[in-house]
Amino acid sequence: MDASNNIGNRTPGGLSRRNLLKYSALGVSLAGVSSLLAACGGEEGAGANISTKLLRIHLDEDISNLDPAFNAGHTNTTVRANIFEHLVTYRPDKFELVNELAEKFEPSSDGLRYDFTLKKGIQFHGGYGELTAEDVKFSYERIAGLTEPKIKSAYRSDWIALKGVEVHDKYSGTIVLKEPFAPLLATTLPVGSGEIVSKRAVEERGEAFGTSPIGTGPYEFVEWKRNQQVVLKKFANYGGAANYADKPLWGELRFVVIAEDNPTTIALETDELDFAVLGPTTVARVKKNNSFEVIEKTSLRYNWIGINAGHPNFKNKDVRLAVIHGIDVPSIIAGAFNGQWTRATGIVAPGMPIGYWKDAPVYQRDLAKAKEFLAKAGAQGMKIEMSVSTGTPGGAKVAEIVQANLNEVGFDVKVLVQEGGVFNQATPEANAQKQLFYMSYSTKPDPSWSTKWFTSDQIGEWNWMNWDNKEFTRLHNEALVEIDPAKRNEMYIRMQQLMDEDAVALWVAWPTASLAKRKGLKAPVRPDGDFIPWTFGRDA
Amino acid sequence: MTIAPAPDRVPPTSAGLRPLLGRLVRRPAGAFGVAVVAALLLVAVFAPHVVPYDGATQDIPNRLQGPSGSHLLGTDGLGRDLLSRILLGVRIELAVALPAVCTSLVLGLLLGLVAGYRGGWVDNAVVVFMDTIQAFPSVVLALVLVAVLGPSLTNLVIVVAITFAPQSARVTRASVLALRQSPFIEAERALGAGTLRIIGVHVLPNVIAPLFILLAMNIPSAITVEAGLSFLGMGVQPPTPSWGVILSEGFADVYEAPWAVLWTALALVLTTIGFTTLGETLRDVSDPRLSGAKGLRYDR
Repeated sequence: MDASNNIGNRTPGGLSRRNLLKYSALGVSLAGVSSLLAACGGEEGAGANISTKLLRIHLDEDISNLDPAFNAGHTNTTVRANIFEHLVTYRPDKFELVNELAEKFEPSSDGLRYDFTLKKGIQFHGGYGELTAEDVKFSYERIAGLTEPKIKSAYRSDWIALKGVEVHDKYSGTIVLKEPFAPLLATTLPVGSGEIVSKRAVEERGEAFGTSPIGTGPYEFVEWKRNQQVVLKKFANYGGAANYADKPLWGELRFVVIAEDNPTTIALETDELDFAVLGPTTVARVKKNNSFEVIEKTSLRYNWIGINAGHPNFKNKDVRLAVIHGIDVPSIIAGAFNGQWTRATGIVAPGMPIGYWKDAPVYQRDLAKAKEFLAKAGAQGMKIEMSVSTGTPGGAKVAEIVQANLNEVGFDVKVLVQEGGVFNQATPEANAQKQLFYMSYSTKPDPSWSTKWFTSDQIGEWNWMNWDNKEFTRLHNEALVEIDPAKRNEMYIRMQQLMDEDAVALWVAWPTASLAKRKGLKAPVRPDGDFIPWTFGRDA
Repeated sequence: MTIAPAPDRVPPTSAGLRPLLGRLVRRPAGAFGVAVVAALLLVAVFAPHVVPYDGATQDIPNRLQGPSGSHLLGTDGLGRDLLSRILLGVRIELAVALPAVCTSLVLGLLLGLVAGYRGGWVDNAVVVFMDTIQAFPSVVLALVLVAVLGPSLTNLVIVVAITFAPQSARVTRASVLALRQSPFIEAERALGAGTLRIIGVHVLPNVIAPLFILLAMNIPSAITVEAGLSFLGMGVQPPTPSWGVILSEGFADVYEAPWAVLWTALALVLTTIGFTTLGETLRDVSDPRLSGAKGLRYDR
């Protein structure tokens, strides 16, 4: 009797056990072969599977204004980088300057004149015509406050040294400075304040330009749905100025706004995003996901615990030293940031082109020393406040660790977890009330961007430590006009030493920028974690 | 001849409450509610003496641990014992909810008495005011009030009290409106009794009973509002182990260690069900239409 006719030897579906085993074995073999092929082909399959119609990028907060003169937050920058171009800019993956809209760009030896010649035939979006030297002049002088009507840009300090832009003809001109300005080629021209806008579009659209921007970049603005998404589409008449990168690949760039970390991870898992900014608590989960890779870069951002030296509680330096020696920074990094961020020892991160203080002291918690300083100040039992913003990731945990640490020293710490709008009031009255606070500032690849907030003239604004050090302020101003990088390096290290000597801050972390990218996506990222979505491609 | 008042409702006395309690625990839902509430009260009183850890001591190297012999419910993001924090949290929840709900009842009672008995423009004004407050979802209203007053335990009590007052005011007003035209009140008035005497001796005892049911029903809502506000950083401030604070802190690590969110949410659910079943059963056993006995009722 044929075994296949034996009813008792069949599975309910009509497939014999022998065949079932045979097909199973075949399936396993096929799976093995396909794995082998995939392994031989590397990422080839993954890249080819990504559609070029649409690239979906996560924004961790909504945009507010896409006018370079009124830049307000990093997500605006991420979106604008696809719409606007510069005379010169950084490569998408390194701090190396390349020409973009400029065919030629030549600084004078005294650092006061920068001659430029534009590439020809570069078109603005929306039929606003060809880019000319007049647009360059308007873009820069507008932020500097030299055009009529005069605007008050928060970034006017980027162009503080600008005397004017001389236009020689349709395609050439000269940027003329009143005095040398070292950050010009680091944090003015290659980034936001160096973006060229259409003069005609700004004049026609006025304030609406911020929500209907016109640039020369490879993507043009389509729509912004508040707290949902921003959509850009490939610009059909793109002039190709950014020839340092591959040609734009994506039909549409869609920026999806998701503020919280956990929903962002879910959006990745449900295939709603191709690229996302991750919070420290979700990195481990995304790393386990076979569809994504995590790129990690130590950013230039710096997080610290500030001590308001102007507050009666902290005028005595011994009290400030008791705070600095009493807090356990490694515990903060482990408890609040899952041990994933780099411990900071100064205001300038190692990735900054100049100014990193490699010999900076690393304070280990010394309870006995902290108690000694507190006793010396006669401040045992002092009631102090530690404030953080609800919007700062891990902020509440930082405050709780500081509270536990300093209560052991002999302080009586009250934690204030404040809503962002309350915490971030940069007014003299609000600043006077702050005592200890945990804060995070972003910066750009020039240390002047980090030191500018702690000069004497920033007291009452962003110098929340109310720290008035004349030498620091003088050095900051001198370093702006010093064009020798070696000398500037020394000056910025000295400025950090001054901060350390006066014990006004405890540096906590240089956060790690953790970015999730779909496997097969080629995503160049700068050393500080910044990225330009349109330059993304697919693995070959 | 003296006309004796004939009250159609009898104010509850301790002698009257005892059979009510008996009827309550004879029902499974009632017994469950009583057990949960009694357990919560015991925990609130004795938690500091029975918890295995103090709930504030941090142990960072042992953060986000799962349940184990040394930490029965695991540890939170700063290595603190979750069991201790959740048990200590009961005290915080009740410390906000009980005074807040009691204050709301007193506020509502006074407003409801005045509005219901006085009538006219006073009644209209109170009703419009209460309707305005009730028009806002309770958490939204509470958020606005906390934004004005600032986050603290005391302010939280005030905010929750204001948020819940309209409910008791409406219940009281409805009872007073029904009582105001009753024969025995008319009789009292005819005998020359003053307004204060009528309200104090005859109206108040008859309207206060339904408020006890409201008390049981509103406590879980108040706890939820407190937890919600603390979750948003507008309520109890860390490191005080309010359930909202534990939930908020646990949410950040929910993928790595869901324990904080899981246990606290279960505690919240159990508390809500306990108080709600107690309130519901209390209403049922005191409703003459349902139990066949004279008792207490209110219309929600």
